[in-house]
Amino acid sequence: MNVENAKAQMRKGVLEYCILLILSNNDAYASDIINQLKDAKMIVVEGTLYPLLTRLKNAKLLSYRWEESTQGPPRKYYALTDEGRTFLGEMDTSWNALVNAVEQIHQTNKVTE
Amino acid sequence: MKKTVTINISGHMFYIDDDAYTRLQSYLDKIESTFRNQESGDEIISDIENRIAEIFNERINKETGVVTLDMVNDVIATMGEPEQFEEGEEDKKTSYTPPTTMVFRKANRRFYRDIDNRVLGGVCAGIAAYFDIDVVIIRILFVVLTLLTWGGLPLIYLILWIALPPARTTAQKLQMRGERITIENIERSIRDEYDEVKRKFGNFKQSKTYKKGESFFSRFSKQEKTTVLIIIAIVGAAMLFNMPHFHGVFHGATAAFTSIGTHFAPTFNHVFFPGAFAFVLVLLVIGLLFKTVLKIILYLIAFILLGSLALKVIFWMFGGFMLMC
Repeated sequence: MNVENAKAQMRKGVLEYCILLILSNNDAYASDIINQLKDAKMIVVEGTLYPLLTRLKNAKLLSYRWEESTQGPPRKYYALTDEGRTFLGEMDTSWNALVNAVEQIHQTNKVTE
Repeated sequence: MKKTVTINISGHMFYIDDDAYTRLQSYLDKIESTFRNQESGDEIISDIENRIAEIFNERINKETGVVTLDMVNDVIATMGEPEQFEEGEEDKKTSYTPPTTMVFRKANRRFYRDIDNRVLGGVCAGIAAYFDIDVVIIRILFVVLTLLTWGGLPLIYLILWIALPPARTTAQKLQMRGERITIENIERSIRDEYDEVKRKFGNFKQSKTYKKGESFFSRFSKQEKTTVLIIIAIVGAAMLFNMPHFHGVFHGATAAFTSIGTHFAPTFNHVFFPGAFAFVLVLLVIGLLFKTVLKIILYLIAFILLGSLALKVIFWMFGGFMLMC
């Protein structure tokens, strides 16, 4: 089991959650989402995002509309649906629980060390 | 000096250097073969193409307005190879080989239609390229076999025309001749072959043409259409005016070959122009050898056969009448 692979697995698990988080405040273009994820070092290559966005859209968590761009082709403007919001709420809860759980295990083991 | 081609990515036109074009094409081919089978694969592909067009637009040199190989390589680095998309998935990453690794493997040939050297659909040329034989031999063989099978072969030709993908990209042309291909292509070749046929059929079923109930001929260009219709007319006519004497597959062929000699074949007894079939055979061979006159010759053959048929019908009608007198 190599480290890079394990790290990638971890990222992959929360990537969808991150996308929903980014969209929770503002609607965004795919390129905006990409930039935020790249800044946070959540994705390495842009291509990763597109299958995910499509999957989320098919699950009705996201919707999109086309917006004309002053330069270049029209772009998809993604937004969270009501379903997506509910989903995000549940994810928030379980994320917090997860962070707490990991933290707790951390602490317990630090004490015993 | 560099050759430049024009491409259209999601509705936007770009001028792109030839080398950059080849690189981009093979990248997009790979993207396509990765996502083709996935749910909403088309959408993902067009999203990615859209993004590529966007990046080109941002980075393009306003003065020259040309997409260069460096830009394409940059875009591919930003977008990532399809293997990197599903990062972290086991096996996928470990089996990933850089696309620059070239191998020489003759065994990995694929059947394509060679549309650069085509007469009709390029099926014969494709077969010739696949087996590395002179295309003239295949064409003559095709004509002879058409006569032996009594019109069955053109049907197979049409099926191959529909089923075989044309060799459009450089990679496909290399593959057709069994030359250098990347490792990825080798891995995918068997799956792709199946997919291509399946997808083509699927596309056809979904296409407006199919829904409107128009014939599949609308898929061909006008010139191709004419040629196909002429061939069908020839085969049909040939079968028609031999029908009463048609006893078996080889009977007709034997008759046709005998008719080349001085004796008229019994098959053609009732035809006004008895040597028609042999004559047509010779014309067809000439036409296939000299492609430039092929179209004229096809028209001539069709004229001869249809004329013979018409004469035969007239004789049949008046013949009965004359016997009564």
